[in-house]
Amino acid sequence: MDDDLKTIVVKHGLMSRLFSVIGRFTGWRTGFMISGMIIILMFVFIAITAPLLTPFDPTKGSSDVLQPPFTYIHIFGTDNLGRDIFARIVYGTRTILSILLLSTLISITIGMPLGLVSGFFSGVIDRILSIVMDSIYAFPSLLLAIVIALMLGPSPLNTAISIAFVYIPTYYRMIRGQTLSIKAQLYIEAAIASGTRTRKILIKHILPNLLPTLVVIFSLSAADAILTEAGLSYLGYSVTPPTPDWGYDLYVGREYVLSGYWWLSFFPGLMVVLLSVGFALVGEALSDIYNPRR
Amino acid sequence: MKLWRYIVLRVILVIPTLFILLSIVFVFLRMIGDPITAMVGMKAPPSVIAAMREEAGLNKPLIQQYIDYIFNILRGDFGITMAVDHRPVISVIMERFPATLELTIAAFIVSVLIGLITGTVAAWKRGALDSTMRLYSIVAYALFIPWFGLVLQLIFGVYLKILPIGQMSDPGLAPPHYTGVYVIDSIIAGRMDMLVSSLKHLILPSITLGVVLSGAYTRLVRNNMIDVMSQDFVLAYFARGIKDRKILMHSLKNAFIPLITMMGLQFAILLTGAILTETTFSWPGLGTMIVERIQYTDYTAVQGAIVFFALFVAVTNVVIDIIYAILDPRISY
Repeated sequence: MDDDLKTIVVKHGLMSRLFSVIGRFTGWRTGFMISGMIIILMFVFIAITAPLLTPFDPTKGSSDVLQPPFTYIHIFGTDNLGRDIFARIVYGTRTILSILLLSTLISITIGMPLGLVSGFFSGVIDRILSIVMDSIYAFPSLLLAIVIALMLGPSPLNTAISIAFVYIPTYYRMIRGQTLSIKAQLYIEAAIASGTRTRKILIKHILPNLLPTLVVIFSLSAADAILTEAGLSYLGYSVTPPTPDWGYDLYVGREYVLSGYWWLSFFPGLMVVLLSVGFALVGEALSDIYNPRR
Repeated sequence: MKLWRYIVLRVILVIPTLFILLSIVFVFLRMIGDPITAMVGMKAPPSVIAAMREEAGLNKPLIQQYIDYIFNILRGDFGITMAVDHRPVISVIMERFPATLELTIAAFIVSVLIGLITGTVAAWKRGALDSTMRLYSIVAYALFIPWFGLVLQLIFGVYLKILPIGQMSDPGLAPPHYTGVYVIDSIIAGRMDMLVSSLKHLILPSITLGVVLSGAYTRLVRNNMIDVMSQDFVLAYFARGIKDRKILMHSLKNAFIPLITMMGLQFAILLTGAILTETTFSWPGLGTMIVERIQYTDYTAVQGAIVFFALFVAVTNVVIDIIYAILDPRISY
């Protein structure tokens, strides 16, 4: 059944591919996919419409320090400098999503071509690349990100670069594996036999078939990348204050939490978990559809 | 005899991996920027920075630095710390390492226990419970450690006041130093009060890290159990009317071996989690050491700790591979 589906997907265009995917959303997959998408889209919406959602400036303090949450004015309360926590969370969404987007772009631009070349040509390059990537992969990811972020200095772009570096091996490994399995299929062999140029095979025949894999890796590694970003900024190696950032806000609030001002850290941290769960739900549903186990 | 050949081969094969890991650390610490300037920031005058560069040996040619770096590590010489105490880096690392080991082992036990229970339930019952466990494994992994730790500290430390929220033991109840692992040291010292104190301090950090890691085990145990339970011998048990519980135990035993490979893969994640857990619970391990030393701009100590982490991960992976080969006779190399 699966192999049949694969050939159909390969033969027809994007539309039929889309329909065949939608047809496989059954049971828990639908629930996971929908709730994950709702969470992600909600945060994207918040990031885009940030100024409309809150009248407060996320970086400007006021005399209303440490106000409790769930009041009409400050729904999540205020922090030690009297800043509205809801406003900081709303603008913090922009920080984390833009870093996520940027780091993903960097990871894909480097990881995908390397994986493609490695998987298609095999040989010495493949072996060397594999060993190097596996070594990076085995390294504790947060530590790697800390080292790079430390050397580059704090800024959103540098944070994105250091996070991107952590996930290059993930993209590389998955793309390489997928390329290997596509390469073994008959139509690629036919293309090679009929003298199609290698570049054309790579770009026209293999690359489009990598897209589903790419979406799956993206949503799974995004869930992880969010935690890495939050971890980096929690330890103080991401953006500089007063830029609103969930991980950093959680860190700053920690001092006050144990005196009973729990909302300073609770809400920013909750957002990290929520956004990460959103991506993980989508990733889980998609990966089960593309690589069904049972 | 074949097994021995495999072990020797596996140990030899780790050498290139180690070499690459060490080179990666070197490249990241020296090539991307000037580490001293990066750590000091713009705070120090150029003459101080120059002096620190001299002390760290950063004014030599890059090739010379690289050769020195590799040879010193091979000799077990990690340099002298540049801040606070000016001691051999390796002795600082060895002082902190037992705390990290204690935390990671405790967290590991917690995560495997949770994984075994949730995974078995998911595989045995299937249906709605299966989806619930799947959801659990996702949410557990996404629990941001500093946040989850803080919530536990709030509930059990601040409101219920039944568990301590930081450090490894109460003041005055730290056991004498034998191994550095507080639980073991308390037992060696034969002091019940010390043991209780260190166990109490271990609960929240190990649950925090253990729960976050358990998701992966839930999934793995579930998949293995389903694999095993679809095999003929299990069907034969059912046919003979053997009790469910007995069949479950038999399946579990067979589902256990792949867990070991998973441990190797999980190990890097475990250490990443340990860094965040340690800072959240002021746990005096390697993770907090790195964070502290970065603040002190102690370049040699930071480099030493990172190299140590890299070596530790590589060696652990080899050990796990070897254990796997010994336990599973079906594998021949």
